[in-house]
Amino acid sequence: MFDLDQIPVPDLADPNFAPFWEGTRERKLKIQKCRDCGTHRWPPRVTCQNCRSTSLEWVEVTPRGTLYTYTTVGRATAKGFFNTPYTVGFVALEEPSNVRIIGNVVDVEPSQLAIGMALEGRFVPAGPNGEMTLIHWAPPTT
Amino acid sequence: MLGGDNRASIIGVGNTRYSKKADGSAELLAVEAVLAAAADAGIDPRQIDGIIPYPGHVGDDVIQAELGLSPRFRTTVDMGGCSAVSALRIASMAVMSGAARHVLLFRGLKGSSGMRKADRPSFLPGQPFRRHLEHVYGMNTPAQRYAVLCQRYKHEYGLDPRTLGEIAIAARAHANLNPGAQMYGRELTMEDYLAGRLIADPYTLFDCCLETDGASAVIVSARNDGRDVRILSVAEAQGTSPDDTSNREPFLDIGLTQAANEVWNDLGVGPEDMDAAMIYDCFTFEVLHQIEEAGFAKHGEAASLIADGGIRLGGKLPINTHGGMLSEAHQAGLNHVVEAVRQLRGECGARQVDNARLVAVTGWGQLGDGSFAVLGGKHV
Repeated sequence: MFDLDQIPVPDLADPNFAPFWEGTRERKLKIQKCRDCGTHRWPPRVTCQNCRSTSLEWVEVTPRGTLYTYTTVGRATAKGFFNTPYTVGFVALEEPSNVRIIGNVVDVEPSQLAIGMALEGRFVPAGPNGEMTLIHWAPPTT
Repeated sequence: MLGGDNRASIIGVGNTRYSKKADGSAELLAVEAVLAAAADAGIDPRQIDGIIPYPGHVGDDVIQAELGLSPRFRTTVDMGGCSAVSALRIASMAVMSGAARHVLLFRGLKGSSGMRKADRPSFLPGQPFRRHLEHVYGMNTPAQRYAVLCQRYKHEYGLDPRTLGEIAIAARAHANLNPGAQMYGRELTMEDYLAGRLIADPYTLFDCCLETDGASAVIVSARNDGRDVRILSVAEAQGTSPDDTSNREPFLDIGLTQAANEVWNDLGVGPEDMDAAMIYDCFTFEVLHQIEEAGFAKHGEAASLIADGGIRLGGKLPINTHGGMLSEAHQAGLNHVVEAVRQLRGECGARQVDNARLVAVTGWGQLGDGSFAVLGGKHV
């Protein structure tokens, strides 16, 4: 479905994202958490939106959640995504519930997609040399 | 006098023919539009002493060189589709402060026959988020980014595809009264709309605005003669987390909500006082979304305004009487300002709103920046 090797690889060493990409490579979903007030945040930022602290840690969270919104793309526009249709979803994590993660939703017929459906993350190597690991979301197998 | 005496005016508007493929260069298009606006204003182009170009389009340096201008004020408003209305505000401040007398807003681009949107440099904020979190999942166009907003609204409030269809068809019906529109002479039926091919669900072909070769220009001035259209009030604001929609909360929050409130409070008039509205229509749902956020309908209730011809000429609130970006042309919203001015001057012929005195204009861009203006004609 996807031409995973053709997907453009961002700068994996970008300090705001490197711990995230290192996490996915180890098949872990890691997001930011404020060391001072404990608020989780995503996408990665340097400042806690709750207490303004810039002290942060990256914590592993369970890649499970529900579909918050999505679009099924019918007109190809992006490198690595020439085969349509494919679906991009925003997944609201089970825990912490204030965080949504963007990813492709797979193994669901477009007509069967529904906001609120349960999804779990799968780690998928991509890029010309498999140098980045993406997260795809599919209905839970168990 | 509504809005007070001390307000800037729009004294001239101009545009080229809008098409899928223009013969001349983008520079020629821009020059044509600027000359048309100066002629409309009744000034020599050299009297233009302020310039606000549009990022990614023909630059102000080109217009200065081509027309021999010597501006004493120039700036760029980098807010995507919100820029046209936000630039009205900056230009108003410039002319009221004396920094300039006649400020030119313009854009010119071969947006259809030249590089298309997905291939042009992006000016969206949060580029690292785009590269790390979106492009790797095949999300790289406005249609895709805005489809997820529409999808969520549909879940929360319910949304019949025919409601979006009516937005597209109303725009086309208006364009068919506007010989200058790119889609003039091309009827669109509900059947056509519903058969549109999938772009990014729920968006199909006719939910998406045009791409256009063309140019438009507006001159804002301290002058306020009888025919000039006054900028009664204008404001701008951004949605929360302006560089990211995925974790925005409330998810459908946009800057327009606050900007429109400021204008209503400033002027002491409300949505019901508007004779027409020009709403930034990059996609059908964004018309509905902004109808609600600007206060023309309550949350979840815009569909009833849209039904039964409510947004068509002769309806409760005629919207985008030129055909908008869906059916007149993509001018990143500057054509909405141009149309508001022509309506208020009573120059719109078959598509004229009877006795138009107050017209609202919205801007929308950069994932949710919003701007809002109310313009007034000579009888206000």
